[in-house]
Amino acid sequence: MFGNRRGIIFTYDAIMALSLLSIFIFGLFIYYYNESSENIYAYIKEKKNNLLAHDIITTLHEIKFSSLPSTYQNEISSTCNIDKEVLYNKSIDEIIVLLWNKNNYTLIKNLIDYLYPNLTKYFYINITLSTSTKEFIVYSTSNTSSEYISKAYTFVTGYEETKEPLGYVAKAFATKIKKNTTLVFPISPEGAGNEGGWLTITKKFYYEQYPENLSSAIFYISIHKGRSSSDLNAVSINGVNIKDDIVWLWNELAATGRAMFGYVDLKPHIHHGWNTLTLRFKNPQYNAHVHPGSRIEITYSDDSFYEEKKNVEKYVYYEDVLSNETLNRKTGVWATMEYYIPLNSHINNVTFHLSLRDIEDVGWWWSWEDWQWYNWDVRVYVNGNLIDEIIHPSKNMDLYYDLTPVSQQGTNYIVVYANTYGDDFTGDGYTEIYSDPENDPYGSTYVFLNYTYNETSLYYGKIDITISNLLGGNKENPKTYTINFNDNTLLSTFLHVAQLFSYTIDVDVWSSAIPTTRVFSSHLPRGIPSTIYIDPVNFDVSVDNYIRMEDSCSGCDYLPESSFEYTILIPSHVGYGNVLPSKEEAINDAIQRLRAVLGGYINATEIKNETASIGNIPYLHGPVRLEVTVW
Amino acid sequence: MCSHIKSKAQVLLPDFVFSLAIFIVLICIVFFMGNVMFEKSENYKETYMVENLAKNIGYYILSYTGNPENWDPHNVKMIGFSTGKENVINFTKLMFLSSMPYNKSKRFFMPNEEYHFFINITYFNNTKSVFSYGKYPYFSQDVFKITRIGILNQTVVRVEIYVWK
Repeated sequence: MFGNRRGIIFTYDAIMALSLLSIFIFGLFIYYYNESSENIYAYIKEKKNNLLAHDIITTLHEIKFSSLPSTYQNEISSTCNIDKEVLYNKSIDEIIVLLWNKNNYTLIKNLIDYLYPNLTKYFYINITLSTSTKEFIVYSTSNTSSEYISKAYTFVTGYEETKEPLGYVAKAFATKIKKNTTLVFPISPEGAGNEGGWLTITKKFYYEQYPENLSSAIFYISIHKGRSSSDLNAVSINGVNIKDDIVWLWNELAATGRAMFGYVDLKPHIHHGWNTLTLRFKNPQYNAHVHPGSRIEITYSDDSFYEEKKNVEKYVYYEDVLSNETLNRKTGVWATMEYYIPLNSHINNVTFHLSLRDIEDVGWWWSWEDWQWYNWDVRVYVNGNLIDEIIHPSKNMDLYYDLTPVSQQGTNYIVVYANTYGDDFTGDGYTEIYSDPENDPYGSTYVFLNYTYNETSLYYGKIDITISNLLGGNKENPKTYTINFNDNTLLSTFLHVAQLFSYTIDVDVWSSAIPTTRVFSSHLPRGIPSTIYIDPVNFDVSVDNYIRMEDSCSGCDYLPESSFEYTILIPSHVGYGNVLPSKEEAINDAIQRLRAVLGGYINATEIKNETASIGNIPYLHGPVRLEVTVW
Repeated sequence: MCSHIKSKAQVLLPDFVFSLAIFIVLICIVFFMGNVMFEKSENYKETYMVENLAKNIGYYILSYTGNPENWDPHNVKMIGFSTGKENVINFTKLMFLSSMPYNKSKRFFMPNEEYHFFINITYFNNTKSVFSYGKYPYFSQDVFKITRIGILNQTVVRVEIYVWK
């Protein structure tokens, strides 16, 4: 049966299939060769036009002003207001740029028509000049176009539009400056003298300038104390009690005492080097502590330029927090400490040194906060995560934590509870988070940071200015702040929130160019840092940016005295400007432009300048791109 | 069914003969067109080659000084007409060329003997020739022409180059 099927390939169907296959192959040939012939035709056309475009560019460069008839020479000389002797060796492409500078397109047309008469009998051309921002068609033989267009271009160093061809230009450098800049020393939310026990907070900060350079020094104070005025014992700066000088702006009475916000001028008391600010207060109705918004803002004049560092190593010191027991009401301390790491960096090392004094080992105790038994005495949280719980503490402890793996780029915060948690207290006598960076820098409580910027931005020759703006507006929650950085380079930004009462915080940032980004969030009890770092990548410096902060507690308003701190970079020099008839005018122009760039924040105390004559060497501006299109 | 399959006259059915005829006609057409395409392909190759010849002549006239740089008909090794500046033509060298026999100069311009060339230099504002040299393609239909622009005696000129067979 198998042998009877040998003739099957000669069937009608097979023959038709072969026929169709042949037609298909034939069709492919036709398509391929049509394409090829089109391509070859286009290739040759474009090659021819390309040679012509190149020839026109070259001949425009090789023909000199001197070879033009005297009528053209005179007209060009008078139009450009340049002596013929100066123009004598100029090529025609340079002459075209000069005439373009004078907006004399008619003379350009006449000149090219003279050099290439009856051009349109053979082909069409456009001649275009372009600067970095604009393009000008200075000569055109036709509005129509073709699919076989070829272009050639050259660069002609010459003049920009509106610049005088002869005269002087100058640039200026600020070699010595005085700038007004601001330093912000935040005071962490921390406490707590329990039910009338005294709380003493000592903040040591270093002011490297001298008092005569000080413009202002304001201490913003936000505390939760008892209802009586005598519950605030001292606000002293370098040993001088200035509590009676405080201007109280906000206060709110509650069953738990009185939350107060105010400010006081520290300027008369600040001196060069280490300064000591001390707060001593209590709260018989609850416990005493600092609320978000406490900070020292110092504005001073300085003469330094920005120094870019690729590898950053620094110690961030925190306050000494001393809580005393009164009667048998027990005591304890807590603190929320923040540090930040820029986004564009690699974290090498973050070490937290916590120095605790007089910690009690109390065994099991009942937490009314969490409604359960605990046996720990010290807890340490980082970014809301519990990293240590000490059950049998020593009386005095120096604890070192490697926070490198748990640190994040952006704002980080550490919360320490020692013999306290929420409103529960277990300590006797006194409890202290110890810190004295002036006399005991390595024994103090600090965070050591070491990070490396992934790429440096080459901000050489720039001046860094730090500005702190109060948010203003109403006492409200949520609160939105709008800021425009006016195209300045942004180095860092911080939000210092001020509240009478607080619970949680969420911070969002957005603009018309960048969608909403949550830059910080904390929902841990008493886990709101005073300072929130917002990386500059979240802002677009050319448009309005919006920062929105919200506390989940509806009555926990943000005060208008919250502030936004940002550091911008300003150039310390300006380049060549307009061409002016005299050297003096050019220098004055450069100095004025430099002062405008420096703005109100920087005063140039020494300016150096460079001038240049652009008479016979008209090559200070540009280059201008001369393009010839042929079709 | 079995008896039908065993039929030995099956291949000579009329529909098979008809389809075979169509197949043969189509195969012939494919071969014919293939031959035409092959010829076209050869033409394309030739077009490329002629274009290159014309471009080379343009290079000798506008960009190359020749060897030696200041050659004359007696010492010329390589021909070239540029003054040394791009697109600026040396008129003296053109005069040397005009004094050369065509067959001698042709060896400098093109290696392929089956092609000829003609150079015509004119001003832009009229068609009167300033300089012409070579064999004009009066009767040839395979003429390739490119136009270049140069400077001769401080005046812009059109340089027409013809290559033909």
